[in-house]
Amino acid sequence: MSTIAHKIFNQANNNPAKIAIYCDENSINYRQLADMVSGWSVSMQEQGVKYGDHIAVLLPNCIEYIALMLVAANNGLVLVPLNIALPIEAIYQAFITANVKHVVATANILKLLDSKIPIADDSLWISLDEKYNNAILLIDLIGEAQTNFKSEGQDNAPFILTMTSGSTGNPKPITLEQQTKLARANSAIEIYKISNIDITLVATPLYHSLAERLVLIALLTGGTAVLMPRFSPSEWIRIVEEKQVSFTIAVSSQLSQIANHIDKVKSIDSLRCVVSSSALLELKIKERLITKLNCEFHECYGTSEIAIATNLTAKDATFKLKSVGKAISNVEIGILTDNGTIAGVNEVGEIICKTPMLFSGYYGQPKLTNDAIFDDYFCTGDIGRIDEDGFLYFLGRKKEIIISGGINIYPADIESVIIEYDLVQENAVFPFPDDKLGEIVAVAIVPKEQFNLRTLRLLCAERLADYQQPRKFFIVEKLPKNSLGKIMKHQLISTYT
Amino acid sequence: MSEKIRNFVISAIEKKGKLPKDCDIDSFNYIDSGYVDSMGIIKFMISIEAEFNIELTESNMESPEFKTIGGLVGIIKNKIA
Repeated sequence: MSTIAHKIFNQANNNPAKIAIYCDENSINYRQLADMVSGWSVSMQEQGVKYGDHIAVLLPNCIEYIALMLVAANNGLVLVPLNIALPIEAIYQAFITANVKHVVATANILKLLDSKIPIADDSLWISLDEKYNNAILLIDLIGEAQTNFKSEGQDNAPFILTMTSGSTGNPKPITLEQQTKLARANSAIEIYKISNIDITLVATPLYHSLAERLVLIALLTGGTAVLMPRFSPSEWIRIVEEKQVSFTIAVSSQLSQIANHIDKVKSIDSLRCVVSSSALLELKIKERLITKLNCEFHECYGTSEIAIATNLTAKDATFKLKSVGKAISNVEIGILTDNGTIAGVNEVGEIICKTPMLFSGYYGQPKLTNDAIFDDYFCTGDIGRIDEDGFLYFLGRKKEIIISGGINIYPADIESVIIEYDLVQENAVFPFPDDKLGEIVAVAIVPKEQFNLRTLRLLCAERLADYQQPRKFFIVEKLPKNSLGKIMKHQLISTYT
Repeated sequence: MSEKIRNFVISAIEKKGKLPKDCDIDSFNYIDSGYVDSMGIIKFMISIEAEFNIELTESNMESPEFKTIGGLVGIIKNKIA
C-alpha cells in the first residue's frame, strides 16, 4: 500500500475532526478528506482509470487538487500537474511528452483543450466546476468506498511528473516516485522540526514541486495546510495573521515582495520558521524579514531533480556572506571541474549532488537522464565553489537560463518564437534584474523595416506562457558577437542592465 | 459598451478562479487579491489592448484606478472614446 495514502487514512482515524486544509473560505477535516479520497479512488477505478495511467491536472490551487494527488497515491496513478497559464500548444506538447491519458481541469480549460487535443475513446475528462460535453463533474465521482475500496499504490512507483522546460523548447518531465516525495517531505520535517501543531502555508502553485512537498509535510505530520489560490504580498500577510501560520517555504521573489509590504504591519507573531528557496535574498531584505517575521529563518539550495541539498541558518548567514549553506544530512555535495575531476577547496566548477531524494529520471528521455548523472551524483548545471568549512557558494549557471519568480526560463524558447515574426532579423534574450521577480525577460532585437513592436508583443502573448513574456525590449542595430559569430550575451547584460 | 468592457475584464481576471460571490465588483482590487499577479500582468494587459485596440501606458498601469475592475473599465472606456 502507498505510505502516503495510508498515513492520511490513519490521520482520519486518529484526528477525524482536525482541519487538514484551508483554502479561501473553504476547509476540510481529515475525515472528510479521507472520505473524498476513498470515494474518488473507487469511482475512478470504476470509470476505467487504471494503475499507472497518466492524469493531467490543470487546476488553480484548491482542496480538490490535493485530494486528487492523494487519489493518485492510493490508486497508483501518475499525476501530471500543469501550469494553467501555458499556451495551448505547450499543453498539447506536454500531453504528448508525458503520455497523458486523462485530464482534470476547469470547464473553461476543457473547452480550450477540446478544440486542439484529440481525445482517445478510453480517456476520462473531469471538470472541476461546470458541466462540459462528456466530461464528468468532479463532485459526481462518488464511489462506494465502503465495499469496493482497494489501494493499489506502491511507494516505488512513479507518482508525479513535474514538467520543466527544456532548453530546446521541449518539456522535460521529472519523474518522482512516491518514496521520493516521502523522503523529500520527511527531510524537510526533520530539518525544520515540523510537528502536528504546525500550520503550513502553501503560497506557490501546486504544479510546482515545492507546493506539493509543503502539502505533504502538513498532512504527513497531521498538521494543517493553508493553501493560497493566488499570491499577492498583502494576501500572504493577511492569511499568515488570520490562520496563525507557523511554517512555510517561499520562493525568494515572493519574500522580496513581502518585505516591501511588511512595514505596514506591526509584527507577525505566529510564524516559527520561514524558509526562502530558489535564489539568495539580499541582506537588507533578509534583515527586514527577520525583524518583522520574528522567527527562525533559513535559506536553501536545490533543484527540482534533487530537492533541498543545503541549509543556511540566519546565524551562519551573518559570517558566511553569499553562501547557500551546508549540505543537509544524508546529502553530499561536490564540485566537478571541467576536466571531470572533483574540485578542491574554493575551486570553481559545476555543483553536483548525491542524495536519497534524487528524481527517477526524465520521463521517456534516458539519454538526457544519463547525461545528467556523474558517478551517482546529479549534475545541477549550476556553477559554484565549496569553502574550507563545507559551505557552498552559488556563482551562476552553466546552462543559459533566466529565473523569474522561481521559474526556470530558457532564452532559446523565447528567441524561437520572436524570430517567427518576419520583421525581426535577429534577437537575443537575456536576464534583466527585477525587484519583484528576481529576474525578468529582456530581449535585444535587430529589426527589419516596418517592424512593429506591438505586433511582436501580441505574438509573444499568444505563443508564450505568462512567465516567458519579454518585459524589456531593446531595439539595436546589431548584436554583439565574438569572432566565431556567437552572440555575447554577457555584453548585452552589462550594457543594458 | 461599458457592459461589454466589464464582461471582458471580468472574464480575463477570472482565469485564476471565480471572483468572490459577495464582493463589490467595481471596487474589487484584483491586483492586491492576487487574481492578476506580477507574472500574469503582461498577458492580461496585452489581451485588453488587443481586444479594444488601445494602448495602455505605464502611467495607466501605475494608477490606483488600474487596480480595480471599475477603474480599469473607466480607463479602457476613455481610451476608446
